[in-house]
Amino acid sequence: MSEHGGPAGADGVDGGRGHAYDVGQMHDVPGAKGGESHASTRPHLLAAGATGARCLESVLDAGQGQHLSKDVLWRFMTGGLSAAEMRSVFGHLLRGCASCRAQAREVWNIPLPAAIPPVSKDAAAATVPRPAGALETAGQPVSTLTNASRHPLSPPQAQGPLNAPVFDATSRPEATPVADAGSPNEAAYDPVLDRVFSRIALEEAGIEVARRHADELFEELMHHPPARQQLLVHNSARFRDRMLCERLLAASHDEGFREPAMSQQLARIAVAVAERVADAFPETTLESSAPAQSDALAGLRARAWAQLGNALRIGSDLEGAATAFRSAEALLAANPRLGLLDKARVFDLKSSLCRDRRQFAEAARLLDRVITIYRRLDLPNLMGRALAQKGLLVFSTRDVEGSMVLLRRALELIDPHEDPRWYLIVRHNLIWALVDDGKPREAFALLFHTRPLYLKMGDRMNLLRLRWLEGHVAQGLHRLEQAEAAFREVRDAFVELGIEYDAALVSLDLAAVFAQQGRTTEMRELAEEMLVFFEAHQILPEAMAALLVFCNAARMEQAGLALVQEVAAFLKQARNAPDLRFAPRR
Amino acid sequence: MSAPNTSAAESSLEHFLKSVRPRMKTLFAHFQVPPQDTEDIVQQALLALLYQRQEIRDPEAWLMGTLRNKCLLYWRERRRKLYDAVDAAALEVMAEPMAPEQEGADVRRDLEMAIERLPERCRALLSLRYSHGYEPPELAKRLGYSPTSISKTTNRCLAALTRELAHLAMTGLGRKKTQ
Repeated sequence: MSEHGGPAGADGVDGGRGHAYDVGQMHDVPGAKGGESHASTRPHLLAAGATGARCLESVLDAGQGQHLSKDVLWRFMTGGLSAAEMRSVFGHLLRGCASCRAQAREVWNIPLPAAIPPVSKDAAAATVPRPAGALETAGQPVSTLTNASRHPLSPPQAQGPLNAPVFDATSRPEATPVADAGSPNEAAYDPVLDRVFSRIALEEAGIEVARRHADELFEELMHHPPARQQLLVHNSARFRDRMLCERLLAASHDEGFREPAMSQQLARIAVAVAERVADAFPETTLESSAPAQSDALAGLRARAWAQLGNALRIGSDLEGAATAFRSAEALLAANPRLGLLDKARVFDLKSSLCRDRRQFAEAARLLDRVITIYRRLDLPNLMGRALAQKGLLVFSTRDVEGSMVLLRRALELIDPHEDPRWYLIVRHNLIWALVDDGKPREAFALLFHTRPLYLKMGDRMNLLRLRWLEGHVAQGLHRLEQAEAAFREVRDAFVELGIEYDAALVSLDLAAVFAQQGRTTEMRELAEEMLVFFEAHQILPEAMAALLVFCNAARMEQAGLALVQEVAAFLKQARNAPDLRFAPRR
Repeated sequence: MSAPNTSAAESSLEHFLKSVRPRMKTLFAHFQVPPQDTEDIVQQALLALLYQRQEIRDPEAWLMGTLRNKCLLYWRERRRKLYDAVDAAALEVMAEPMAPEQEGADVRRDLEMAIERLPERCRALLSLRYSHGYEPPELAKRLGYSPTSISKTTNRCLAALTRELAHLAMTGLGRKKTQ
């Protein structure tokens, strides 16, 4: 394997440009001895002190007429040598060897020195990076070092090393290698593609079998208690299975919606499996596919840690979640060639943690990266999901208008047939935002068309959320009797299911209806019921404190709509931020 | 039951690979990635496709997007190596205590001349780096750049310096002035 990660056994693909480059790949240039040889040149920039330079110089000193080959020059300019080799080649060029200069001019397609005008500082200024926040301006080409178009063999729109975006920050054309030095024709890729395709076909054949096997392992694992599961994963080689890890991650994700504790347990096992698979990696992988497999495993580990972080977040262990995400991010940093989908998954889950910690700017930045990745990979469904999450994030910052724009864009991208759950989530959030934005009629119309989706999903939680939303829309339309009926129904169901927090929130919605109607007696009764229920159940201390403020005011028949809304808003925020403190305005 | 399914999956994959092959070759040729270096790129992308196929709606679009991105990353890594080499070489020159006086003066003059030809902001940044040994975080603080963007800024300045040094190396302009 080369130092840049090329696969072993790829040598000879393009004839003389063998894969494993040896710095001794220098050739004799006829007449060089009589001309400007190394011995006759002055000391060069990098000769002293550099190990690679000493290595190169020993070859040069021995041969006297030896110079850099086209291949070496090409590899130098495209970063294909080791650091020491690059320094030594650079030193050799600066030494002023006429033969190598001529060679380099040819390989890099550089015009003769006479054609080189001085650099214009004004034009060059356009290429200068500016401090953060400053805008870049379009620049003029400043160096004729790099006039690619002059060479008849240079590809018209080549995207190689010398005119790539970073090197060419202001569309300055760079030297383009001539075809025989660096531009392979399309046929040269056939042998490589044949090799990879045959390996992938083998992998594909085994993948279905591996999935079924993973399902069996998963079922087997689930029959044991959590401690035993960990033991099995650590001690039994059978459970060092990548597909099993994928299966555990999917299961942990699904459980996050239903049972956070189970989601955490599955994520912990997934992390253990991923780490064990990575430990066993060199023994179980063919050498030829090692680099790609290594990156894929790093991606799997990163996703496993991120899933654990997400499960901990859902269980309100924000510190534990942050620690798990640090492990995931360390893997991303250590493996820059990691797949974009793996990166997007980690950023996506991390953004939820940032949102819960009220780090809204960081959450938005991460979601923007996720959206960019999905756009680049042309994955509209996933892009729609990310936009929906950003919509929710923006909603948290009270920017209802901005939230609705994002949610509508998300709806355009999510396919309701392919991803009905997400489609419904986005519609639900959009309807809620429309009511909050004072557009209950629009919300009502959208709800009418969305109701069949809730019914199709069918599960009780979705139907309760539909009923809650119906109450919210009815309240927006001032149909307070309908709203009251809906809120009572939902509240009773949440109490029955033991979902205390949502019960508190819907109780406050009901209190708001009473406040709008001036029904202080009913509000007092409701407050008494709430107090009895929430004192008997565990609820966040700060949320309880806020509820007590409301209950006390209701007992004294002093709880107005403003106080109800204030307490409800606090409860929504405090749900994911237990450190928040309630401070009533009056 | 499983055999027909597997063979169907295989033929579907075979068909898919056959259909994307011309586009892949065109893409690699367009990016001028040496054939021997494409093996990892293709394999990694196709493995990811296999393992995450359920999440991918349009495999061809996804694959081409992924490959394009990997080609860009490939060249980015290569460029970084070039800039790192130039940076390390320049730091060595400026820190070299053992070189003979005339030799040291020549190479330093080459470097200074190259830096002189750069735009003002790059001159300031590289002078601080090579004359005073500032590390990127110190450069960010001193020059008012954001700490998160300083490495990108330094890379751009190194890119500019590389071009100028290559220019000097090719033309011998620096030498002519000193001789």
